[in-house]
Amino acid sequence: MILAWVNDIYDGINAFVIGMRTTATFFVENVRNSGGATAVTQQYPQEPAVVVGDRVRGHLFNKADICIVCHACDKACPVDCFVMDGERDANNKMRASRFDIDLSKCIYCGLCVRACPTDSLSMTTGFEVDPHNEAARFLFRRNSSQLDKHLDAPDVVRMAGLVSQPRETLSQADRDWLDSVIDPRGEHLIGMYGMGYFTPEEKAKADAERERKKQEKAAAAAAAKAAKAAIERAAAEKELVAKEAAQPHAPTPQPPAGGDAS
Amino acid sequence: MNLGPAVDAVASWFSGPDPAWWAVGIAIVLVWIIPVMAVVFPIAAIGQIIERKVAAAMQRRLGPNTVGVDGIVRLVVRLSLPFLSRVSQDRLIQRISTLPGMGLIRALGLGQLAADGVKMIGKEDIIPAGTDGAVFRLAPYLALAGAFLPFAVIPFAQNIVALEVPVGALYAIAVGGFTVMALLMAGWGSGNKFSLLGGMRAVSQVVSYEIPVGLAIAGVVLWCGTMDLHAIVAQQYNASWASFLGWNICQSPFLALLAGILFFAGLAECQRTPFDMSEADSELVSGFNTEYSGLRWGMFAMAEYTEMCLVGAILATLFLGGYQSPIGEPWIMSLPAWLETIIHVGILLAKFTAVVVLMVWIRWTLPRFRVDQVMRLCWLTLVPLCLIALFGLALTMLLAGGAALGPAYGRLPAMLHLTLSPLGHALAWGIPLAIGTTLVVQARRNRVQAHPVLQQLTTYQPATADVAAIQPNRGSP
Repeated sequence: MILAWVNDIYDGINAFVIGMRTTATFFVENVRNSGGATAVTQQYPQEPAVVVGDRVRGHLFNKADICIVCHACDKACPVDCFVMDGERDANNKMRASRFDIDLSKCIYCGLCVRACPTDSLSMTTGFEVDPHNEAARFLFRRNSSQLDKHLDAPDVVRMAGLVSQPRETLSQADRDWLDSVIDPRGEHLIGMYGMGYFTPEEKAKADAERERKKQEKAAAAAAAKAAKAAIERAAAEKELVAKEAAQPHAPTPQPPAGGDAS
Repeated sequence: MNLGPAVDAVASWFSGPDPAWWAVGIAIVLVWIIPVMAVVFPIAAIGQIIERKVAAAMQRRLGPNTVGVDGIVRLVVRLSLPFLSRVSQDRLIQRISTLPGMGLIRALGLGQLAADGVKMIGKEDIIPAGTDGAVFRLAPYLALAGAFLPFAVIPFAQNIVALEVPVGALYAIAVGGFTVMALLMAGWGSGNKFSLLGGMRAVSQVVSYEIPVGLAIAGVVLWCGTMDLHAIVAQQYNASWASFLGWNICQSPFLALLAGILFFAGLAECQRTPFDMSEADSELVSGFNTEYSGLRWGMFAMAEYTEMCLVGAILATLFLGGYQSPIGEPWIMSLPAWLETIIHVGILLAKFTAVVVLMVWIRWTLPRFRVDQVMRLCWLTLVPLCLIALFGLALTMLLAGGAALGPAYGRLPAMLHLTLSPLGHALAWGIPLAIGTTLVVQARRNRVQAHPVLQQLTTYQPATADVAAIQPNRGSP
């Protein structure tokens, strides 16, 4: 009985030591920075954001040169976050003269993107909504009285230019004009992606992205076509072999090289 | 029911030979406890940060690392400079929070302390309708008092002890018993079944574990021949060892065993995780403190961490040489008095912080016991072990003399005297260890083989973590 009692104590201490060793291993690993706590956890506000994935539904982006101002997105939107105006260009085609997206209303549902007939509206992976942040400088805060103010593309370009400079260096006229269009304390967060490409870099980036997607689509289509062709060829070969079996004296044809593409 | 005789007895006890001695005593305690609280309170608060950081490190998290001083700065700037625009406020906040050193404060989570305090003070103090008013309101204060009052007799340095009483060890046990009362009051006063269950569990557990605690302290008292904690600390300094070898925990294997028992029993008295049935969140919502909110809940939390510190302090004082350094005292004695005091306080704080870290480590390792398991551990393991250790200790003292008894007392020649000769020391360790090892070997040899599945479970080895598998591709576009 005493031996059993001693054995119980031994077992208890043994299990205790194993448990303590397990947690100590984790502790030492993490303190030494090799265990992954710092590797896994992203310090987002202090460090730049890491792109989470390609399919993240971030800010909306409208390519103004394709947009036909059909209001399909406006009708699809459950929260009415679009404000848009259209005008006829020289070829009598509709184009957007104003395309504001109120990101303080947007719920990032993506229904407008589905509704868009020309694929001009898309969702980017951007998600930062701090208008004071350099990385998100095409977002502005507006108050309710400024919300109806009409801005043309040159105005937006001017605004983007002014906002990216320190306020102290602006002239009084610029400062007044800026104050009349945006209000840092306003409750509406406006993403003005709709007014075209603001910088050459943005345009190049968007173009490259579109080109890459087009090529990917083409490559996928080509691969699918090749696969289909291979299947058909295999079926034809099978038929041929069956025919050969019926006439055993005929020579066997060599299979074409790379026929196993599927 | 006639309470007359009882009241008379209490009154006559208080108005003994010197009618006001107890009032004077309380006044001294209250005056002297303030500097002690000024030291212990921040340590107890930092205990929470230690808890959260250690837990995070064991779970591959970072723990509190966001609320730096910049959080406080943000609050102050936003509230005190409303005439500035939001942008200017942001710039000012950023300017201050990027000063050198702020990153470290943020990474250590120190700002969390102030933020938690502000949060708890700002919260509503809800007192539900069904509560027993006075009992409910009084319980947190009692819990905090029970956790803090024993610190009055802990010597922090040679001259820093709030209350130098000759029965310090007894005082610590007695005043520490307040906590049981507080838990029962909280459980009863809440008018809630879960709280009442938690309170009753707490009482049964704490009262049971008072016995191993008392026996372990009795062992030290037996060894040192005094209940004065200051004298116990002084006795652990021995010129012939002049190092940690003079500490009680190194004097005899029985004292080391008692130290272990005191640690685990203290863990149970703190209601910490392997023993936290009183607030078992998966069974009793939050047990005795379910109905508490705001600062009252904060006082319970504070009491918990203070009690951890208390167990650490008592363990350090009784077994780990108190405020003495592990490499001898002469180098400290040669320093100026104020520096000596600071170093002594620092050493004691380091010792009991180490015990607190060990408690936290255990909390994040072991799951909660069942009620019957807790009781079985106390009555069938710790109490018999305590008795065995006490018996062995008495035998050792009878044969070779203890710290309190001179060499003349021992039945063996002075050459084998424990505190004087290395040979005696080696024998005092060697013989009990040999007997214990023999017992364990025999027990292992004669044990009933466990079920294969259980064997596999108890011999489980954790696989080393595959770090590469969880590394995200950082910085990819």
